[in-house]
Amino acid sequence: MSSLGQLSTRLDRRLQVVGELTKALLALRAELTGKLDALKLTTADVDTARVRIIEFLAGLTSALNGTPPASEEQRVFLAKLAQSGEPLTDWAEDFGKIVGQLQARAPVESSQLDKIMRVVGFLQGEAAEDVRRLRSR
Amino acid sequence: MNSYRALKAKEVELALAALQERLEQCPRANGQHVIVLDRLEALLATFANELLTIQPVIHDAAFRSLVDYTLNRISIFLFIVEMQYLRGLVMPSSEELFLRSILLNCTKRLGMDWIEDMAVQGSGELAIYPELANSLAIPAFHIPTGLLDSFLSLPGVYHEFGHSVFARFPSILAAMQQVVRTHFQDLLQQLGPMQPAMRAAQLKRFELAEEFWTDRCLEELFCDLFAQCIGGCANIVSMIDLSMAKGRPTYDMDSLDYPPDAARVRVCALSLTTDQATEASTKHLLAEWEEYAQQFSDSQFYRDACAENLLKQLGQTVFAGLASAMPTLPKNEASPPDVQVAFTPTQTLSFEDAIQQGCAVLAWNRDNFESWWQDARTRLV
Repeated sequence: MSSLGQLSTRLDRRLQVVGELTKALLALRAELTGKLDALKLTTADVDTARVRIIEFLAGLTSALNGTPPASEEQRVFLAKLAQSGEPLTDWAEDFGKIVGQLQARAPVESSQLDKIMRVVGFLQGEAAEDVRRLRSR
Repeated sequence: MNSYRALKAKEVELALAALQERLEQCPRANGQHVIVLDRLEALLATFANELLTIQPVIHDAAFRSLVDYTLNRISIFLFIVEMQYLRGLVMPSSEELFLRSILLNCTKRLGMDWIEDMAVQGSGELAIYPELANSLAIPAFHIPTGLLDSFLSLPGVYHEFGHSVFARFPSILAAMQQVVRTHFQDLLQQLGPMQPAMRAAQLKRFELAEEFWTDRCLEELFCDLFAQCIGGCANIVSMIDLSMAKGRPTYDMDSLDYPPDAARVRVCALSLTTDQATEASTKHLLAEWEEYAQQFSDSQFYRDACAENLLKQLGQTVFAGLASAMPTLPKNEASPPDVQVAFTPTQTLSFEDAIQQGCAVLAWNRDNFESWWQDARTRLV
Protein backbone atom coordinates (compact mmCIF):
# COMPACT_ATOMS: atom_id res chain seq x y z
CA MET A 1 0.00 0.00 0.00
CA SER A 2 1.24 3.45 -0.76
CA SER A 3 0.13 7.02 -0.46
CA LEU A 4 -0.01 7.42 -4.25
CA GLY A 5 -3.80 7.10 -4.22
CA GLN A 6 -4.45 10.07 -1.99
CA LEU A 7 -1.60 12.09 -3.47
CA SER A 8 -2.86 11.66 -7.01
CA THR A 9 -6.44 12.53 -6.18
CA ARG A 10 -5.33 15.68 -4.39
CA LEU A 11 -3.00 16.66 -7.22
CA ASP A 12 -5.67 16.07 -9.83
CA ARG A 13 -8.19 18.24 -7.97
CA ARG A 14 -5.63 21.02 -7.60
CA LEU A 15 -4.71 20.88 -11.27
CA GLN A 16 -8.38 20.91 -12.15
CA VAL A 17 -9.04 24.05 -10.11
CA VAL A 18 -5.88 25.76 -11.37
CA GLY A 19 -6.79 24.85 -14.95
CA GLU A 20 -10.36 26.15 -14.70
CA LEU A 21 -9.36 29.38 -13.01
CA THR A 22 -6.45 29.98 -15.39
CA LYS A 23 -8.73 29.57 -18.40
CA ALA A 24 -11.32 31.87 -16.85
CA LEU A 25 -8.73 34.53 -16.02
CA LEU A 26 -7.28 34.22 -19.53
CA ALA A 27 -10.69 35.08 -20.96
CA LEU A 28 -11.22 38.01 -18.57
CA ARG A 29 -7.76 39.41 -19.29
CA ALA A 30 -8.25 38.94 -23.01
CA GLU A 31 -11.43 40.97 -22.78
CA LEU A 32 -9.68 43.64 -20.72
CA THR A 33 -6.80 43.95 -23.19
CA GLY A 34 -8.88 43.58 -26.35
CA LYS A 35 -7.31 40.27 -27.27
CA LEU A 36 -10.38 38.08 -27.51
CA ASP A 37 -10.03 37.60 -31.26
CA ALA A 38 -6.30 36.88 -31.07
CA LEU A 39 -6.98 34.16 -28.54
CA LYS A 40 -9.99 32.91 -30.52
CA LEU A 41 -12.25 33.52 -27.53
CA THR A 42 -15.85 34.70 -27.66
CA THR A 43 -18.02 36.83 -25.44
CA ALA A 44 -19.73 33.59 -24.41
CA ASP A 45 -16.35 32.39 -23.12
CA VAL A 46 -16.07 35.61 -21.13
CA ASP A 47 -19.53 35.07 -19.64
CA THR A 48 -18.57 31.53 -18.62
CA ALA A 49 -15.33 32.85 -17.15
CA ARG A 50 -17.18 35.50 -15.17
CA VAL A 51 -19.48 32.87 -13.68
CA ARG A 52 -16.54 30.63 -12.71
CA ILE A 53 -14.62 33.44 -11.06
CA ILE A 54 -17.71 34.70 -9.21
CA GLU A 55 -18.32 31.19 -7.91
CA PHE A 56 -14.71 30.83 -6.83
CA LEU A 57 -14.43 34.21 -5.14
CA ALA A 58 -17.83 33.99 -3.46
CA GLY A 59 -16.84 30.67 -1.86
CA LEU A 60 -13.47 32.00 -0.83
CA THR A 61 -14.91 35.23 0.57
CA SER A 62 -17.37 33.25 2.61
CA ALA A 63 -14.53 31.15 4.03
CA LEU A 64 -12.52 34.30 4.72
CA ASN A 65 -15.49 35.61 6.66
CA GLY A 66 -15.54 32.57 8.91
CA THR A 67 -17.64 29.91 7.18
CA PRO A 68 -15.88 26.53 7.50
CA PRO A 69 -13.88 25.80 4.31
CA ALA A 70 -15.95 23.84 1.83
CA SER A 71 -13.00 22.07 0.24
CA GLU A 72 -9.40 21.11 0.79
CA GLU A 73 -8.44 23.77 -1.78
CA GLN A 74 -10.19 26.48 0.25
CA ARG A 75 -8.20 25.38 3.30
CA VAL A 76 -5.00 25.87 1.28
CA PHE A 77 -6.09 29.34 0.18
CA LEU A 78 -6.99 30.36 3.73
CA ALA A 79 -3.69 29.11 5.15
CA LYS A 80 -1.65 30.84 2.44
CA LEU A 81 -3.59 34.10 2.68
CA ALA A 82 -3.12 34.05 6.45
CA GLN A 83 0.63 33.61 5.90
CA SER A 84 0.69 36.56 3.51
CA GLY A 85 0.56 38.92 6.46
CA GLU A 86 -2.31 40.99 5.09
CA PRO A 87 -5.49 40.91 7.17
CA LEU A 88 -7.98 38.31 5.95
CA THR A 89 -10.71 40.93 6.16
CA ASP A 90 -8.86 43.01 3.54
CA TRP A 91 -8.78 40.07 1.16
CA ALA A 92 -12.45 39.39 1.81
CA GLU A 93 -13.31 43.03 1.12
CA ASP A 94 -11.29 43.10 -2.11
CA PHE A 95 -12.77 39.84 -3.37
CA GLY A 96 -16.27 40.95 -2.43
CA LYS A 97 -15.76 44.09 -4.49
CA ILE A 98 -14.56 42.09 -7.51
CA VAL A 99 -17.56 39.77 -7.23
CA GLY A 100 -19.84 42.79 -7.23
CA GLN A 101 -18.19 44.20 -10.34
CA LEU A 102 -18.34 40.89 -12.18
CA GLN A 103 -21.97 40.41 -11.23
CA ALA A 104 -22.75 43.90 -12.54
CA ARG A 105 -20.72 43.08 -15.66
CA ALA A 106 -18.63 46.14 -14.86
CA PRO A 107 -15.01 46.10 -16.04
CA VAL A 108 -12.44 44.70 -13.63
CA GLU A 109 -8.98 46.20 -13.38
CA SER A 110 -5.74 44.49 -14.25
CA SER A 111 -4.60 44.70 -10.62
CA GLN A 112 -7.75 42.91 -9.53
CA LEU A 113 -7.08 40.07 -11.94
CA ASP A 114 -3.49 39.98 -10.62
CA LYS A 115 -4.85 39.59 -7.13
CA ILE A 116 -6.92 36.56 -8.14
CA MET A 117 -3.94 35.19 -10.05
CA ARG A 118 -1.86 35.46 -6.91
CA VAL A 119 -4.35 33.27 -5.08
CA VAL A 120 -4.38 30.73 -7.91
CA GLY A 121 -0.60 30.74 -7.62
CA PHE A 122 -0.89 29.39 -4.08
CA LEU A 123 -2.62 26.28 -5.37
CA GLN A 124 -0.24 26.02 -8.30
CA GLY A 125 2.59 26.00 -5.74
CA GLU A 126 0.94 23.20 -3.80
CA ALA A 127 0.48 21.20 -7.00
CA ALA A 128 4.18 21.69 -7.74
CA GLU A 129 4.95 20.35 -4.27
CA ASP A 130 2.74 17.30 -4.93
CA VAL A 131 4.65 16.70 -8.16
CA ARG A 132 7.92 16.91 -6.26
CA ARG A 133 6.63 14.19 -3.92
CA LEU A 134 5.50 12.16 -6.91
CA ARG A 135 8.91 12.46 -8.55
CA SER A 136 10.72 11.45 -5.37
CA ARG A 137 8.79 8.19 -5.06
CA MET B 1 11.38 37.88 -30.00
CA ASN B 2 13.05 35.55 -27.51
CA SER B 3 11.76 34.95 -24.02
CA TYR B 4 11.87 32.16 -21.48
CA ARG B 5 8.20 31.51 -22.08
CA ALA B 6 8.71 31.10 -25.80
CA LEU B 7 11.50 28.59 -25.16
CA LYS B 8 9.44 26.73 -22.59
CA ALA B 9 6.40 26.62 -24.86
CA LYS B 10 8.53 25.05 -27.59
CA GLU B 11 9.90 22.48 -25.16
CA VAL B 12 6.41 21.55 -23.96
CA GLU B 13 5.18 21.38 -27.55
CA LEU B 14 7.96 18.93 -28.45
CA ALA B 15 7.41 16.79 -25.35
CA LEU B 16 3.71 16.67 -26.11
CA ALA B 17 4.28 15.63 -29.72
CA ALA B 18 6.75 12.92 -28.62
CA LEU B 19 4.29 11.54 -26.10
CA GLN B 20 1.49 11.58 -28.67
CA GLU B 21 3.70 9.59 -31.02
CA ARG B 22 4.56 7.03 -28.35
CA LEU B 23 0.91 6.55 -27.47
CA GLU B 24 0.07 6.05 -31.15
CA GLN B 25 2.63 3.24 -31.27
CA CYS B 26 1.19 1.38 -28.27
CA PRO B 27 -0.25 -2.05 -29.16
CA ARG B 28 -4.03 -2.32 -29.23
CA ALA B 29 -4.34 -6.03 -29.96
CA ASN B 30 -7.81 -7.44 -29.21
CA GLY B 31 -9.05 -4.03 -28.16
CA GLN B 32 -6.58 -4.01 -25.32
CA HIS B 33 -6.07 -0.62 -23.61
CA VAL B 34 -8.14 1.01 -26.34
CA ILE B 35 -10.19 3.11 -23.92
CA VAL B 36 -7.13 4.18 -21.92
CA LEU B 37 -5.28 5.13 -25.08
CA ASP B 38 -8.26 6.98 -26.55
CA ARG B 39 -8.72 8.97 -23.35
CA LEU B 40 -5.04 9.82 -23.06
CA GLU B 41 -4.88 10.87 -26.70
CA ALA B 42 -7.94 13.06 -26.25
CA LEU B 43 -6.36 14.66 -23.20
CA LEU B 44 -3.14 15.40 -25.06
CA ALA B 45 -5.16 16.87 -27.92
CA THR B 46 -6.75 19.37 -25.52
CA PHE B 47 -3.26 20.37 -24.37
CA ALA B 48 -2.15 20.85 -27.96
CA ASN B 49 -5.13 23.18 -28.37
CA GLU B 50 -4.27 25.10 -25.21
CA LEU B 51 -0.73 25.60 -26.48
CA LEU B 52 -2.10 27.01 -29.72
CA THR B 53 -4.48 29.27 -27.80
CA ILE B 54 -1.80 30.93 -25.68
CA GLN B 55 0.65 31.30 -28.59
CA PRO B 56 -0.41 34.88 -29.46
CA VAL B 57 0.18 36.14 -25.90
CA ILE B 58 3.36 34.26 -25.00
CA HIS B 59 5.41 37.48 -25.18
CA ASP B 60 2.73 39.66 -23.63
CA ALA B 61 3.68 40.84 -20.12
CA ALA B 62 0.02 41.09 -19.12
CA PHE B 63 -0.39 37.34 -19.64
CA ARG B 64 2.87 36.14 -18.08
CA SER B 65 1.48 34.29 -15.08
CA LEU B 66 -1.35 32.80 -17.11
CA VAL B 67 1.13 31.47 -19.66
CA ASP B 68 3.38 30.14 -16.89
CA TYR B 69 0.55 28.32 -15.15
CA THR B 70 -0.72 26.86 -18.41
CA LEU B 71 2.70 25.57 -19.44
CA ASN B 72 3.36 24.24 -15.97
CA ARG B 73 0.06 22.43 -15.77
CA ILE B 74 0.52 20.82 -19.17
CA SER B 75 4.06 19.74 -18.20
CA ILE B 76 2.72 18.11 -15.03
CA PHE B 77 0.11 16.16 -16.98
CA LEU B 78 2.72 14.99 -19.49
CA PHE B 79 4.85 13.80 -16.59
CA ILE B 80 1.89 11.96 -15.07
CA VAL B 81 0.98 10.21 -18.31
CA GLU B 82 4.61 9.25 -18.84
CA MET B 83 5.22 7.98 -15.29
CA GLN B 84 1.90 6.45 -14.41
CA TYR B 85 0.63 5.04 -17.68
CA LEU B 86 3.13 4.70 -20.46
CA ARG B 87 5.20 1.76 -19.23
CA GLY B 88 2.11 -0.40 -18.83
CA LEU B 89 0.94 0.53 -22.32
CA VAL B 90 4.06 0.40 -24.47
CA MET B 91 5.11 -3.19 -23.84
CA PRO B 92 2.92 -4.79 -21.18
CA SER B 93 4.23 -8.06 -19.75
CA SER B 94 2.04 -11.15 -19.67
CA GLU B 95 1.77 -10.75 -15.88
CA GLU B 96 0.61 -7.14 -16.25
CA LEU B 97 -1.99 -8.14 -18.83
CA PHE B 98 -3.20 -11.08 -16.75
CA LEU B 99 -3.58 -8.92 -13.64
CA ARG B 100 -5.25 -6.17 -15.64
CA SER B 101 -7.94 -8.61 -16.66
CA ILE B 102 -8.32 -9.88 -13.07
CA LEU B 103 -8.52 -6.35 -11.67
CA LEU B 104 -11.01 -5.18 -14.28
CA ASN B 105 -13.22 -8.18 -13.51
CA CYS B 106 -12.93 -7.28 -9.84
CA THR B 107 -14.15 -3.73 -10.45
CA LYS B 108 -17.16 -5.11 -12.33
CA ARG B 109 -18.07 -7.50 -9.51
CA LEU B 110 -17.70 -4.71 -6.97
CA GLY B 111 -20.00 -2.46 -8.99
CA MET B 112 -17.31 0.14 -9.68
CA ASP B 113 -18.90 0.82 -13.05
CA TRP B 114 -17.24 4.22 -13.42
CA ILE B 115 -13.98 2.42 -14.23
CA GLU B 116 -13.93 1.76 -17.96
CA ASP B 117 -10.39 0.54 -18.53
CA MET B 118 -7.10 0.38 -16.72
CA ALA B 119 -3.37 0.34 -17.29
CA VAL B 120 -1.38 -2.00 -15.06
CA GLN B 121 2.34 -1.63 -14.65
CA GLY B 122 4.85 -3.48 -12.53
CA SER B 123 6.60 -0.76 -10.61
CA GLY B 124 7.54 -2.36 -7.32
CA GLU B 125 4.66 -1.28 -5.12
CA LEU B 126 0.97 -1.87 -4.75
CA ALA B 127 -0.62 1.47 -5.55
CA ILE B 128 -3.22 3.19 -7.67
CA TYR B 129 -3.34 6.44 -9.59
CA PRO B 130 -7.13 6.69 -9.54
CA GLU B 131 -7.99 10.04 -11.08
CA LEU B 132 -6.74 11.79 -14.17
CA ALA B 133 -8.04 15.10 -15.47
CA ASN B 134 -11.12 14.94 -13.28
CA SER B 135 -12.01 11.44 -14.42
CA LEU B 136 -11.95 8.16 -12.53
CA ALA B 137 -12.54 6.14 -15.70
CA ILE B 138 -8.98 5.01 -16.45
CA PRO B 139 -6.92 4.44 -13.31
CA ALA B 140 -3.31 3.35 -13.49
CA PHE B 141 -2.66 0.40 -11.21
CA HIS B 142 0.86 -0.31 -9.96
CA ILE B 143 1.86 -3.78 -8.86
CA PRO B 144 4.97 -5.27 -7.34
CA THR B 145 6.58 -7.97 -9.43
CA GLY B 146 5.19 -11.32 -8.30
CA LEU B 147 2.15 -9.79 -6.60
CA LEU B 148 0.36 -13.14 -6.61
CA ASP B 149 3.25 -14.71 -4.70
CA SER B 150 2.60 -12.33 -1.78
CA PHE B 151 -0.70 -13.86 -0.81
CA LEU B 152 -1.15 -11.97 2.46
CA SER B 153 -0.89 -8.64 0.68
CA LEU B 154 -3.61 -9.41 -1.88
CA PRO B 155 -6.51 -7.77 0.02
CA GLY B 156 -4.42 -4.60 -0.39
CA VAL B 157 -5.84 -4.51 -3.92
CA TYR B 158 -9.20 -3.54 -2.39
CA HIS B 159 -7.52 -0.87 -0.29
CA GLU B 160 -6.21 0.62 -3.54
CA PHE B 161 -9.63 0.44 -5.20
CA GLY B 162 -10.87 2.21 -2.10
CA HIS B 163 -9.10 5.38 -3.24
CA SER B 164 -11.26 5.42 -6.35
CA VAL B 165 -14.43 4.83 -4.31
CA PHE B 166 -13.42 7.59 -1.88
CA ALA B 167 -12.96 10.04 -4.75
CA ARG B 168 -16.24 8.95 -6.33
CA PHE B 169 -18.36 9.49 -3.20
CA PRO B 170 -17.27 12.64 -1.36
CA SER B 171 -20.31 12.32 0.92
CA ILE B 172 -18.49 9.53 2.77
CA LEU B 173 -15.62 11.85 3.69
CA ALA B 174 -18.14 14.44 4.87
CA ALA B 175 -19.81 11.82 7.07
CA MET B 176 -16.46 10.74 8.53
CA GLN B 177 -15.52 14.35 9.25
CA GLN B 178 -18.84 14.80 11.03
CA VAL B 179 -18.19 11.73 13.19
CA VAL B 180 -14.81 13.14 14.23
CA ARG B 181 -16.28 16.59 14.98
CA THR B 182 -19.14 15.16 17.02
CA HIS B 183 -16.84 12.84 18.95
CA PHE B 184 -14.63 15.66 20.15
CA GLN B 185 -17.56 18.01 20.78
CA ASP B 186 -19.02 15.33 23.04
CA LEU B 187 -15.73 15.00 24.89
CA LEU B 188 -15.69 18.75 25.48
CA GLN B 189 -19.20 18.69 26.82
CA GLN B 190 -18.34 15.87 29.19
CA LEU B 191 -15.58 17.87 30.84
CA GLY B 192 -16.57 18.56 34.43
CA PRO B 193 -15.61 21.58 36.52
CA MET B 194 -11.85 22.02 36.82
CA GLN B 195 -9.11 24.59 37.24
CA PRO B 196 -8.82 26.92 34.21
CA ALA B 197 -5.24 25.84 33.50
CA MET B 198 -6.21 22.18 33.55
CA ARG B 199 -9.20 22.90 31.37
CA ALA B 200 -7.02 24.72 28.86
CA ALA B 201 -4.65 21.74 28.76
CA GLN B 202 -7.53 19.33 28.17
CA LEU B 203 -8.93 21.51 25.40
CA LYS B 204 -5.52 21.60 23.73
CA ARG B 205 -5.27 17.82 23.94
CA PHE B 206 -8.64 17.35 22.26
CA GLU B 207 -7.84 19.99 19.66
CA LEU B 208 -4.61 18.21 18.68
CA ALA B 209 -6.36 14.85 18.61
CA GLU B 210 -9.12 16.19 16.36
CA GLU B 211 -6.59 17.84 14.04
CA PHE B 212 -4.86 14.49 13.64
CA TRP B 213 -7.80 13.30 11.53
CA THR B 214 -6.88 15.10 8.34
CA ASP B 215 -8.60 14.23 5.08
CA ARG B 216 -5.53 12.17 4.19
CA CYS B 217 -5.74 10.03 7.33
CA LEU B 218 -9.49 9.63 6.91
CA GLU B 219 -8.97 8.56 3.30
CA GLU B 220 -6.49 5.85 4.26
CA LEU B 221 -8.76 4.66 7.06
CA PHE B 222 -11.65 4.57 4.61
CA CYS B 223 -9.58 2.44 2.21
CA ASP B 224 -8.78 -0.01 5.01
CA LEU B 225 -12.47 -0.24 5.81
CA PHE B 226 -13.41 -0.64 2.16
CA ALA B 227 -10.99 -3.58 1.96
CA GLN B 228 -12.46 -4.88 5.21
CA CYS B 229 -15.97 -4.70 3.80
CA ILE B 230 -14.97 -6.81 0.77
CA GLY B 231 -12.24 -8.94 2.30
CA GLY B 232 -13.65 -9.81 5.75
CA CYS B 233 -11.33 -12.13 7.69
CA ALA B 234 -8.79 -12.23 4.85
CA ASN B 235 -8.34 -8.48 5.17
CA ILE B 236 -7.72 -8.77 8.91
CA VAL B 237 -4.87 -11.18 8.16
CA SER B 238 -3.52 -8.71 5.62
CA MET B 239 -3.76 -5.78 8.07
CA ILE B 240 -1.97 -7.79 10.75
CA ASP B 241 0.72 -8.61 8.21
CA LEU B 242 1.00 -4.94 7.26
CA SER B 243 1.55 -4.06 10.90
CA MET B 244 3.85 -6.90 11.95
CA ALA B 245 5.92 -7.50 8.83
CA LYS B 246 7.37 -4.01 8.71
CA GLY B 247 8.16 -3.85 12.41
CA ARG B 248 6.84 -0.28 12.67
CA PRO B 249 5.87 0.84 16.18
CA THR B 250 2.16 0.17 16.25
CA TYR B 251 1.21 3.44 17.93
CA ASP B 252 3.47 5.69 15.86
CA MET B 253 1.55 8.91 15.13
CA ASP B 254 4.25 10.59 13.03
CA SER B 255 2.90 9.87 9.56
CA LEU B 256 1.01 12.74 7.96
CA ASP B 257 -0.68 10.35 5.55
CA TYR B 258 -1.65 7.31 7.61
CA PRO B 259 -3.28 6.56 10.94
CA PRO B 260 -1.05 4.44 13.18
CA ASP B 261 -1.02 0.71 12.45
CA ALA B 262 -2.78 -0.01 15.74
CA ALA B 263 -5.77 2.11 14.72
CA ARG B 264 -5.84 0.55 11.25
CA VAL B 265 -5.88 -3.01 12.55
CA ARG B 266 -8.36 -2.18 15.32
CA VAL B 267 -10.82 -0.33 13.10
CA CYS B 268 -10.97 -3.38 10.84
CA ALA B 269 -11.24 -5.78 13.77
CA LEU B 270 -14.09 -3.72 15.22
CA SER B 271 -15.92 -4.05 11.92
CA LEU B 272 -15.92 -7.85 11.91
CA THR B 273 -19.28 -9.55 12.24
CA THR B 274 -19.77 -11.71 15.34
CA ASP B 275 -19.26 -14.87 13.30
CA GLN B 276 -16.04 -13.52 11.84
CA ALA B 277 -14.71 -12.24 15.16
CA THR B 278 -15.32 -15.54 16.90
CA GLU B 279 -13.88 -17.72 14.13
CA ALA B 280 -10.98 -19.63 15.68
CA SER B 281 -8.21 -18.67 13.27
CA THR B 282 -9.14 -14.97 13.13
CA LYS B 283 -9.54 -14.81 16.90
CA HIS B 284 -6.14 -16.41 17.40
CA LEU B 285 -4.37 -14.10 14.94
CA LEU B 286 -5.92 -11.01 16.51
CA ALA B 287 -4.84 -12.15 19.97
CA GLU B 288 -1.34 -12.69 18.63
CA TRP B 289 -1.34 -9.21 17.12
CA GLU B 290 -2.58 -7.65 20.38
CA GLU B 291 0.33 -9.31 22.14
CA TYR B 292 2.69 -7.96 19.48
CA ALA B 293 1.19 -4.45 19.75
CA GLN B 294 1.65 -4.40 23.51
CA GLN B 295 5.43 -4.44 23.18
CA PHE B 296 5.10 -0.83 22.00
CA SER B 297 3.65 1.68 24.37
CA ASP B 298 0.81 3.84 23.28
CA SER B 299 0.69 7.52 24.08
CA GLN B 300 -1.92 9.87 25.45
CA PHE B 301 -2.06 11.36 21.97
CA TYR B 302 -2.92 7.94 20.50
CA ARG B 303 -5.55 7.30 23.16
CA ASP B 304 -7.09 10.72 22.53
CA ALA B 305 -7.05 10.55 18.74
CA CYS B 306 -7.82 6.88 18.20
CA ALA B 307 -10.21 6.02 21.01
CA GLU B 308 -11.99 2.75 20.39
CA ASN B 309 -15.47 4.29 20.34
CA LEU B 310 -14.36 6.81 17.70
CA LEU B 311 -12.85 4.04 15.55
CA LYS B 312 -16.01 2.01 15.91
CA GLN B 313 -18.20 4.94 14.88
CA LEU B 314 -15.98 5.65 11.89
CA GLY B 315 -16.26 2.00 10.84
CA GLN B 316 -20.04 2.02 11.16
CA THR B 317 -20.28 5.30 9.26
CA VAL B 318 -18.15 4.02 6.39
CA PHE B 319 -20.10 0.77 6.15
CA ALA B 320 -23.38 2.69 6.18
CA GLY B 321 -22.03 5.12 3.57
CA LEU B 322 -20.96 2.25 1.34
CA ALA B 323 -24.33 0.52 1.70
CA SER B 324 -26.01 3.71 0.57
CA ALA B 325 -23.59 4.72 -2.20
CA MET B 326 -22.90 1.23 -3.55
CA PRO B 327 -25.95 -0.90 -2.69
CA THR B 328 -24.75 -3.83 -4.81
CA LEU B 329 -21.29 -3.96 -3.25
CA PRO B 330 -20.69 -7.59 -2.25
CA LYS B 331 -20.00 -7.23 1.46
CA ASN B 332 -18.18 -10.13 3.12
CA GLU B 333 -19.91 -10.95 6.38
CA ALA B 334 -19.10 -14.65 6.50
CA SER B 335 -16.42 -16.60 8.32
CA PRO B 336 -13.69 -18.02 6.10
CA PRO B 337 -15.00 -20.99 4.12
CA ASP B 338 -14.44 -24.55 5.20
CA VAL B 339 -11.08 -25.65 3.88
CA GLN B 340 -12.76 -28.50 1.96
CA VAL B 341 -14.47 -25.87 -0.22
CA ALA B 342 -11.06 -24.72 -1.41
CA PHE B 343 -10.18 -28.21 -2.58
CA THR B 344 -13.46 -28.74 -4.39
CA PRO B 345 -12.57 -28.36 -8.08
CA THR B 346 -14.18 -25.46 -9.93
CA GLN B 347 -13.53 -24.20 -13.42
CA THR B 348 -13.02 -20.61 -12.41
CA LEU B 349 -12.32 -18.80 -9.18
CA SER B 350 -13.03 -15.16 -8.47
CA PHE B 351 -10.29 -13.07 -6.86
CA GLU B 352 -12.57 -12.54 -3.84
CA ASP B 353 -13.20 -16.27 -3.37
CA ALA B 354 -9.52 -17.08 -3.92
CA ILE B 355 -8.53 -14.76 -1.09
CA GLN B 356 -11.06 -16.27 1.31
CA GLN B 357 -10.24 -19.85 0.37
CA GLY B 358 -6.50 -19.20 0.49
CA CYS B 359 -6.79 -17.90 4.04
CA ALA B 360 -8.66 -21.05 5.04
CA VAL B 361 -5.99 -23.23 3.41
CA LEU B 362 -3.22 -21.23 5.10
CA ALA B 363 -4.92 -21.61 8.45
CA TRP B 364 -5.96 -25.24 8.32
CA ASN B 365 -4.02 -27.03 5.58
CA ARG B 366 -0.85 -24.99 5.28
CA ASP B 367 1.29 -27.86 3.92
CA ASN B 368 -0.85 -27.96 0.81
CA PHE B 369 -1.08 -24.19 0.32
CA GLU B 370 1.59 -24.00 -2.37
CA SER B 371 0.06 -26.66 -4.61
CA TRP B 372 -3.43 -25.29 -3.96
CA TRP B 373 -2.40 -21.76 -4.93
CA GLN B 374 -0.45 -22.90 -7.98
CA ASP B 375 -3.62 -24.53 -9.25
CA ALA B 376 -6.03 -21.85 -8.04
CA ARG B 377 -4.21 -18.95 -9.72
CA THR B 378 -4.64 -20.59 -13.13
CA ARG B 379 -8.41 -20.51 -12.54
CA LEU B 380 -8.54 -16.88 -11.40
CA VAL B 381 -11.04 -14.64 -13.11
